[in-house]
Amino acid sequence: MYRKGQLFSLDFIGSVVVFVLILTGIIFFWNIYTSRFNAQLERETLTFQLVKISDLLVENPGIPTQWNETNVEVIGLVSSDRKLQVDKLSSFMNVTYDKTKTLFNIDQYDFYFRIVDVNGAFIKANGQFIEKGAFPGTAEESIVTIRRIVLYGTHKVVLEISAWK
Amino acid sequence: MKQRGQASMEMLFVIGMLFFIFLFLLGFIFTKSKDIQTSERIVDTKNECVTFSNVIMAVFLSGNGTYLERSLAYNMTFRPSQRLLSVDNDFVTCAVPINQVSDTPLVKGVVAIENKNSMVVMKNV
Repeated sequence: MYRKGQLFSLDFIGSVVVFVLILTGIIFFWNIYTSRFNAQLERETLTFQLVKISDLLVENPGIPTQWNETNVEVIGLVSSDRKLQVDKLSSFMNVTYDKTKTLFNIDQYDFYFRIVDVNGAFIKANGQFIEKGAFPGTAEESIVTIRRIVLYGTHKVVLEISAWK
Repeated sequence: MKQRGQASMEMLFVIGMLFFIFLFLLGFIFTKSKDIQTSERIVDTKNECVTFSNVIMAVFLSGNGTYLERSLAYNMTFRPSQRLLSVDNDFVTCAVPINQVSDTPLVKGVVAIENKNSMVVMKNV
């Protein structure tokens, strides 16, 4: 009986330790995958939002049609589908960063916008480079970038918008 | 008799510990099961929200006179001042970069979405 009692206790303690280790592992990996899932969900939400914004910029003249930085309700940069209008680009550069975020409805994110030629060189409108916002640092982990080909005069250029949290 | 008594005490201790372990396990499973159900509902409503906000954008960008009908699986409301589409009483919201959308509350079922002079008008049919 003495030996039987000892064996029973050791077996039990051993199995409890193994069980607790396995359970801890399960909880640990569960939490990792939950946070990955939430991050992925947020990244997808931002991607969908950026697609909508880029659609809006390159397919719509904005509201009102001849908008400026004071009366703008909806930002659009083209005169017709994918044809950039210089006046609208200038007006867009004059809209403040924070107001632009509010109009795009990406208040909780930062963004960077630019228009470059197909070789990556900056384009100027009325003497200034067409870029808005701060270039994202390399530390930003979840940057989403959308590029669209548009016409600037007769040249094909690239409209690029990036956002991150 | 003495030895049997000792064995019973040990047994009671083991059963007690097992009881607490399984109680903890039950609580853990219950919590995680609830988390999964909530996540499932979030993904489902989020999917519906994103899809419907894409429909709103498509109708807006397609220009005056665009009309389509679509069925909704949840109640929805668009809040133009916040540029937000709210699904199932704010259970999930998604951002839309335009405010030219009617704020009529929509109940689940078929809705008509129409672009009237760059204003997206939505109503149940």
